[in-house]
Amino acid sequence: MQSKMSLFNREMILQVGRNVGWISVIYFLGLFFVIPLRIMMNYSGDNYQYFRPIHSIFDLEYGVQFMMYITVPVILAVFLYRFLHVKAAADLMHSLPLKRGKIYQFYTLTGFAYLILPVILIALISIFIHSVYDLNLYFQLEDVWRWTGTVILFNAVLYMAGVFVAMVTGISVVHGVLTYIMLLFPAGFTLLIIYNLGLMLYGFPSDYFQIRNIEKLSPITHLSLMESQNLSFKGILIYSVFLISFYILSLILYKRRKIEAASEAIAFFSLKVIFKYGVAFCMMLLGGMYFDAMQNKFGWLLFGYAAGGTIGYFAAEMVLQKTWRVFGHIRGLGIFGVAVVIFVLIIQAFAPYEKRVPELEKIKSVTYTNMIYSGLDEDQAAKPLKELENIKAVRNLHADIIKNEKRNELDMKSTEFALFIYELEYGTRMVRQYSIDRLDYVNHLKKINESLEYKHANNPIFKVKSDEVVSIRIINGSKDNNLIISDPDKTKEAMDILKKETVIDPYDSDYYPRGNRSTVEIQAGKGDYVHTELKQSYSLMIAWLKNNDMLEQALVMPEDLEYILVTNEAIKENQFKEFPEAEIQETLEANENTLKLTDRDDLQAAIENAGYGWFNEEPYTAIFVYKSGNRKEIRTFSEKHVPDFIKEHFK
Amino acid sequence: MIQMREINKTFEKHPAINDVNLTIEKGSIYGLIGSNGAGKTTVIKLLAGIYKQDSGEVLLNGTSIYENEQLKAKLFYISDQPYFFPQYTVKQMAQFYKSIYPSWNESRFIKLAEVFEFSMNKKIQTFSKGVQRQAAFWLALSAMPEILILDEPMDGLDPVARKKVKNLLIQDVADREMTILISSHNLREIEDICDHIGILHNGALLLEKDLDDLKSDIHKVQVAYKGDPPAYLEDNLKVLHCEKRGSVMLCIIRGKEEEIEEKIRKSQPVIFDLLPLTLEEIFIYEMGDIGYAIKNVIV
Repeated sequence: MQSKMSLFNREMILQVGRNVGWISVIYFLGLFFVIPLRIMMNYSGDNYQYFRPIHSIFDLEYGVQFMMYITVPVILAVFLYRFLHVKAAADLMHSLPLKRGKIYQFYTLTGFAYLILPVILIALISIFIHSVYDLNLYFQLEDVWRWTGTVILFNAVLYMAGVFVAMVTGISVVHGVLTYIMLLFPAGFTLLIIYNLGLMLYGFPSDYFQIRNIEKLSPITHLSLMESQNLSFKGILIYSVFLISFYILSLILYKRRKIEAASEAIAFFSLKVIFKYGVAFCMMLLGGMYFDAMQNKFGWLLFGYAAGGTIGYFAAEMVLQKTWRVFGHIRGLGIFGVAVVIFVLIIQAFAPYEKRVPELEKIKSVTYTNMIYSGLDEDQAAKPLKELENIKAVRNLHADIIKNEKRNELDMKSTEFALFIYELEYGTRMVRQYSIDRLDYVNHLKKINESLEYKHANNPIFKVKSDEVVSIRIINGSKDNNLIISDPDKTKEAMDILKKETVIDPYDSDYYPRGNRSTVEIQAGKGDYVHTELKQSYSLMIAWLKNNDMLEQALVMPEDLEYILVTNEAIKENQFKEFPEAEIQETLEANENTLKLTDRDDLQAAIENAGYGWFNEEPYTAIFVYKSGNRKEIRTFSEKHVPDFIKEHFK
Repeated sequence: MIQMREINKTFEKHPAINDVNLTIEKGSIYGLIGSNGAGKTTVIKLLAGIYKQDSGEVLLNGTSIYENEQLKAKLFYISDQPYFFPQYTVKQMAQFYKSIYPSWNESRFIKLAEVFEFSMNKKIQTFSKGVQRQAAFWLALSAMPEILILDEPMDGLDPVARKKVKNLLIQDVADREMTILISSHNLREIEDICDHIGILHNGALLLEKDLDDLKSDIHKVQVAYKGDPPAYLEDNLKVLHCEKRGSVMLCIIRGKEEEIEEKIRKSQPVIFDLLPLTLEEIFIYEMGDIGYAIKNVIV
């Protein structure tokens, strides 16, 4: 006798529909309010402010869309496979003359149909509205297709993860929770591993790795990027492979699953072990990460590991045993502790990793920078150095940092981040990062920073060709108006001079800034901006501005200032509040000993020499009172650069 | 014919049944008796193809039942707590089963509506426990299975419904040789319909018997003699148990009825009666010590 069951069994489809159909309906209504209705609201009536094109369908209330995309597929999978987790339902389903494979395929595919039906309907409605309202100006049919494809793919991925977890667990609540854990796991686990390796291995570039595309490791965080990005072909391929392999894997698990596992947290014995020690391990890493980030002390770090591991172990045990009385089961915890100690010893055996500086002849190029750029700013990131001299200098710095490993992070005065990216022979790459006290390495840093190649590699201004500049805008917060240079000849001249100034600018001009500065914004193309500074020390540029009668608009002039108050008394710490300027100004004005500058030349000398040091570390403190916008600024004079007339006054 | 051979099943680390061998002939009504936790439900779910055994074979007509659609289509299982899809009516459940069981008989389903006096258009979960169980029987009998597997089926049924259900079951067995496996923790509850009995205790099958054989092989006799009973009687008859009340003796004797009667009459008793035995007594005397141990189970 042949079984009557085929993939188009109306009653079975109805059964799935009675079970999960309500989710489809809610999903449809949610999408309907957010997309087609929103489109109609935006592009009808008198509300002209909304008559703007959208970048993609995701632009419409993305927050709401996102919430639906991450919840609906998982909830649907939970309800769909609830029959595996309720004993009576599991018995009924598996007493029927249906093979497991058939039940699986039928439920999984029918559930998926119920999941994407609302998406397809919304797409059709949107297309209909598009043609009826003639909305070509605001979005294209292509946008609708792209939205449909992306949503279906992400829905499928989250749904498939839910189906997979359904096979692994026997409790619906655990099903939901585990699905999200699984979806976030690749990103979270990578983050934990990278962070903790950074703690254990000196020089491990955890920040460099963390910043690189970690959000693409989890479908949920990846989905959150969809508002601004399109799915790449590679992404589609990876997700397709995931879908196919998890479809097959889930089928295999279903066939091997024991029906009596309904109401067990984890349905397979071997997975219970993995689950228990996996949770303990991840919690241990999390504990370490938390206490390191909060306290940054070795003792706290150890505490974090111990506490995290123990809590994780017992939490996992509680879930598995479905009781909180698990504190007698300490044998496994002991095994775990020993395993961790062995693991740490293995990691510590990686001493060569910490000590390694590549041999000079093997280095093709090296990028040295104290800043990590990511994502959209990537084109502004530092370029590699190739000249032998510079490679040597960077290598020496690196070797010195490693030599001082124990000292580097003690009593830091001027912390700086140092990232080394070596390109070695055979295309291999070696990356290290360190936190160093800049003052310990001034000689090395000066040598590297003042080399022409380094300047070209690190300053964004060299990425712009002088004759491609559209305009240069010089902005100073103390002035009401900005200076804009847009004459092509002038911009070219200005660019050439700015580049020259950048080349001769000494290494520490940014660490001990002196004089007032303005921001220079160079527009190289549409939406392509590069920023640099106009410093008081840029004499060539200042001379050029003066010749072109632009200086007064570009830099702070004595005319911009009402007056300056100077004192040689240290300001007490309790006076330094959130907005201390007005208060300090009052104190100074009340003090007879205070020097008030109003003379043009005095003001000019003060503008050129005032620094930005800490108020209680420099001998003289000043309040600059500007005419524009009631602006006040706290400045300092160092012993070396204080103008003579100030020094005289306080003698 | 259903066969279980050397079946073992363990849950996690707890063994549920050990080396169970069991045979159910076509057209018989097999009663599986055991206390709570004896392993009845496990045996039943193995037979229904829900559980997979750790070792051994579960066969229907020589073929393994597990994951075999053709065989499972001949088999209908009603669990100890009948389950229906949420919000379903009897009619909707019937339509569902109809799409799955090739042997479904729609006219029978409609005819049975006269027997079960509740609406097929009401949601089953609004019914009481007993009515839900009747609904399960309604659906099961409409599916016309060759084998009906019932786990504690009489729980929650009132005497009238019990009678009704039993009649329907017997009728199907008589009409079309349906085989029934029925489990219970109470022997009395099912002794009137079973023709075979298996007793399960602590995961092992203690005995498996044809009830007719049992009944024809063991007898209760009441005799009285003038003076002492002749000694040769005890040597000639297999007396399992004997007690004296005054001059009247009450004995349980194994053997054919005619033989016993002939031998006792020869000894010229003053009183001689052959009395009926309850199934309970049969088990207790038949099984000796184990019988006493599981007395609580079978009564």
